Amino acid sequence: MNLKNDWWKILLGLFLTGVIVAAFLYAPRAKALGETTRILFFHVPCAWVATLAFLISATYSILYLRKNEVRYDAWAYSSAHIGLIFTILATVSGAIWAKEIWNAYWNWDPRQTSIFILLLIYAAYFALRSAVEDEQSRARLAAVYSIIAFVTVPFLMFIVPRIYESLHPDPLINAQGKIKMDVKMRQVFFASLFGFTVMFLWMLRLKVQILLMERKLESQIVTER
Amino acid sequence: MRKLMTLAAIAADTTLTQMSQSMPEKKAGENIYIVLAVTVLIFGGVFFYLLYLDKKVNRLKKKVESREE
Repeated sequence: MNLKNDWWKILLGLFLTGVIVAAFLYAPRAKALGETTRILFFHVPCAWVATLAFLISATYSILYLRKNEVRYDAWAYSSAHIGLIFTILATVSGAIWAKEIWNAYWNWDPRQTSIFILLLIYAAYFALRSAVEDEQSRARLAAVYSIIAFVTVPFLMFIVPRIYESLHPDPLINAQGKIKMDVKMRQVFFASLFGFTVMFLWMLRLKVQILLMERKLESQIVTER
Repeated sequence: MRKLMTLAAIAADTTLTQMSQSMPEKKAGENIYIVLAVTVLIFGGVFFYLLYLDKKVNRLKKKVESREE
């Protein structure tokens, strides 16, 4: 590890450790949720990162369709890949919380249903990619699909949970457009959100670099043959 | 006999009431292990994803090295 270049990675590790400690020892509990309030500091950032990842994927898909450069497809694919992982983490962590509060891992609450549909939509994105062999057609089809898939994200992540009756705790920005959260909780929450976002950007950069290197190597091998 | 039975019933009822009052009530949301499980799941998930990326980088390094040779 090169300290001159990698100092921020160590800082991020320390920062996230601080967030975990603060989530357990500094942030107060909400009355209705008890100790499980602390899940909020990890579960919501996962959902946030997933949304951000799908937005980045759609943006790079538009760029790919406009400029037809392979690197944009690599960014779109990598972002969707990480987005799907964070969606799975948000779904499973939500189900564990539901077992404690609702006494069932899964009960088709609007939140659970909408995230499940989102999972299926993005799983289909990868199924589509793996079904097309030609690189150009695969990238073009995937770009179109990613844009269409992202249209559903605001609806499934923000609109559905706000218009249907749900057992899920009030979203952070509720129907009144106000953040009803204790100051200490808010501090830990936004720190966690920041930490998760930086971690996501780091993972995304790594994934894109790997993908571009793989493609470069493959094309070199093909031209040598 | 009837009086004895009534007394026994009252005694049993009082004991049960006292027992239920002294027993800690299990409230939903008070299980800290659930929070721990979620924290481990999320950071474990991120850790394994980073391991997967690390494995890919190493495989690419080997490929590049073998090509250079």
